[in-house]
Amino acid sequence: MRDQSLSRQVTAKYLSLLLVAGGAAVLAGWQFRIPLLKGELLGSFVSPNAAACFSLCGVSILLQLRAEQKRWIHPVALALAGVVTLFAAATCLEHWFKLDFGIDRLLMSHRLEDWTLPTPGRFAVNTCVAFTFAGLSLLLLRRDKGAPISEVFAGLVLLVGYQSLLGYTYSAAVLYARVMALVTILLFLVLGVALLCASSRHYLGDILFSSTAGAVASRRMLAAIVLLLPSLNFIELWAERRGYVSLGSGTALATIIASGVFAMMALHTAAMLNETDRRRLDTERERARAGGLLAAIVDSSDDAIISKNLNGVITSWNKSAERLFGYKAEEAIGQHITLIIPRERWEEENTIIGRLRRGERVDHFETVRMRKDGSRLYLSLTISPVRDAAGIVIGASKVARDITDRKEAERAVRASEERFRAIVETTPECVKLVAADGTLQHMNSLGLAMVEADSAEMVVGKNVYDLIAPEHRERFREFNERICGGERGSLEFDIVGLHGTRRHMETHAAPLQNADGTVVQLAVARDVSERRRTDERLRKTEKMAAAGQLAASLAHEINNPLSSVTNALYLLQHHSEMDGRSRDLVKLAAGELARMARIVKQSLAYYRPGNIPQDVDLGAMVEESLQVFSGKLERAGIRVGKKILPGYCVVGFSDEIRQIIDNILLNAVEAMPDGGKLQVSLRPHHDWRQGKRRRVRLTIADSGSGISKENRAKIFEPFFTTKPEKGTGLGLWVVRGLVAKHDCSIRVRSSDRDGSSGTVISISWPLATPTLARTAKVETRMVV
Amino acid sequence: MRVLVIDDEKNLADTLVWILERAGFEATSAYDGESALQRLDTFQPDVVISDVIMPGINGIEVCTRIQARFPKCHILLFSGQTATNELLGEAREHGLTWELLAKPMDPDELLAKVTTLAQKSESAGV
Repeated sequence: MRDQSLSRQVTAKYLSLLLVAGGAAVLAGWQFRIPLLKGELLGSFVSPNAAACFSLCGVSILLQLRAEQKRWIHPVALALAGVVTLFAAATCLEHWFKLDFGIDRLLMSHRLEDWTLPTPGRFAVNTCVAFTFAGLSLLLLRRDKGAPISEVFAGLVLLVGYQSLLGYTYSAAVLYARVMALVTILLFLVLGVALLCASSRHYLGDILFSSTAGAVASRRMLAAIVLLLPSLNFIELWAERRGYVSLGSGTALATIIASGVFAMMALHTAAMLNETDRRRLDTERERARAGGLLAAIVDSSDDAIISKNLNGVITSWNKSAERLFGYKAEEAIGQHITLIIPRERWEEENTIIGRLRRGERVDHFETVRMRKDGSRLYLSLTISPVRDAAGIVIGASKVARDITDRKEAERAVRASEERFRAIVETTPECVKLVAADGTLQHMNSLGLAMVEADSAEMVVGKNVYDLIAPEHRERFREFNERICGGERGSLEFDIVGLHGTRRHMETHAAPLQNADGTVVQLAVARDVSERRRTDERLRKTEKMAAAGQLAASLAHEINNPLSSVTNALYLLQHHSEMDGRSRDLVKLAAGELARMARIVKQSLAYYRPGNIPQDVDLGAMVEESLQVFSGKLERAGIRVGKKILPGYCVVGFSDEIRQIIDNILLNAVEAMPDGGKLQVSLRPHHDWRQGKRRRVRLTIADSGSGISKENRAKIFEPFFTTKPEKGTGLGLWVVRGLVAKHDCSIRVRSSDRDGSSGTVISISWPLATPTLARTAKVETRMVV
Repeated sequence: MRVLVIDDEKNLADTLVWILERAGFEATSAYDGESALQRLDTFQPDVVISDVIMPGINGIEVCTRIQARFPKCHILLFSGQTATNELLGEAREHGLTWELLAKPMDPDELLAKVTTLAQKSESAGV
């Protein structure tokens, strides 16, 4: 349609240019007296006035075709048309009322001598009537309401031209008013066609130039009428004039031929119309059937299919839409689409309409819509623009699929996943997944803390074997492979964290099948380092207790013979009949026996169950011991510094506490055989690790030889001594046992560097409280 | 000054008696509780040195009976056994406060103690 309209306008443009050029050529022919240009043919020529009018008409058409481009164009075009109309109408008045307005000689008045007719310059009656019609047609050309009338006037122009042409054909001068030139007639035919083509509505144009059956038929009929009839009559006339045929037979012959041709044409037209009609009916039937099929498909679809126009008004509504949304088609059609859009999603509709207007399609848009009962449903929408025959978007079709079930399932899966994740994350143990090749696939946050990873990326995806202590790695690898092979099992192993902390783990593992069919190890591991430490300590304590018990019973058995031998040696020593050497030997035996007695005594002291602990004034006890040792200290030349705060009571067994103090003091004294300084202090302190519990600390420092590095670790071992000649190797061993029994902690600092050597032993005691803890910490810290 | 030594260890009791005799004490030994109590008819001790754990009547019971008969008699117990503490605890509950010496005793220390006790008895006018 558009293309046709455009091609007509192009035709109008070229025809108008022809008119302008023709008019100009004729004027030039008058000016330069060139008969050919003046259109001189069969004794007539185009008048300058007519030439000017053709040019003006051409210009007016050209301008009107471009009327939209500039505001001034249309008024100018109309003014030109008005000039032509007035000029032609005035000339008509001159003809009919024998007037002379003088307008005939406005153009080319210097060439009046060339004019052979009685009224020089004036156009023929036909010409002025045709120009009047042409002017009126031009005035109404681009007016929407005036367009049909404009085409009628254009038709009249063609009719006048045709009538004048027939005058020439049949030598009937009256038809061409004697003077209307043949070239003028041709130019009028051009003008008429140009006007029809330039018309804005094409009422006649559509009838004549379209591809419909009516247009085809009318074009043929008109051609037959306009061309065949005159030609036939011309031939008949020519034959009669020459005397070849009589008037009657010539007319009859022409009539027969014309009738035959017209009858054939009528039949042909009828056949064509029938064919067209049949085709149209077939098409309609086909379309109806297709429409019905389409409607059936739409109705039987599981998806809701809805169409709407660009204003959002629903225009169709299939069965599934009824089922899905709860509205019947008659309820929904004509309603706005917001009928099914929840209020909070109305903005969505604007976005969708915007995209549709741009001709875009909206694919698998997941959203929420509302049923008639107000409940929500999840939908996946596919919305496509619907275009009219001209390709303009006029609405949209919407296919909605109910994905509520899928969404619900997704949400259930998500919820379940979150629940399990929460369970895994809150499990107070290390939960991990390990692939058969050792790749760590997952680890909960507690596990990450155990392996000292700040983020999952530091270990997940990497090989878990690297985190296992080297000596347990192989065992763990075999275990992992066994689990991934489908067994369940438990394993104890050590791990070494990223920062080097070693932990003893106990894991319970089971195979877990992944979605891809691979089997991985699902393991829950617990840090049992503390438990193992406790176990070890308990075992050691038990061992010690057993050893103590054995020592105690042995001591008891030994004590009696020991006493007898001691007494016997005493008697022997005081026997007068002994020589000097024998006396020395007896003295040596007595000394060794005394040492044996000491060992037995200390072994006995270690194991002494029973008895109720009592409050013991620690300060007084220390003072007492120092008093006992005063002789020894003086003899060895040891200065004593005391800072003993009075009044601190601890709970325990006084003889055991005395033994602790005495053993440490004795070691100090023995470490300073050539004199030195002994510093003893007792002062309170807080233990911040145990809830600010108040404690008292006894510190005994000597400036003696100190303990060598290699010996420091062994000082608490039984029978370890650096003084084989007089030490038992049990002193500090006993101290440690007693310290633990009294819930104390002992700390040893020592240096054997020349000039700054010495040993500091400090024991922290809990202040007297009603209960006495059974276990205690033995903390040994060395400061070099 | 008479000292009675009671111990089921014959060697121990005898050597102790010799040491005491050498130091000038009149000493005799008994090897169990029964014989010790029988000895009392002929021997009235100023000091009794007794083992605690003995077959038959234990040391504490023997000493309790001796002191009942001779209230001014001094008692020295010696033992190294843990059971001693418990027995002593019982004795304390009955108001008896005796000194406990650990075996083996240094003979010089023992003689010093016995001498001290003997002086006490004398100053008390026995």
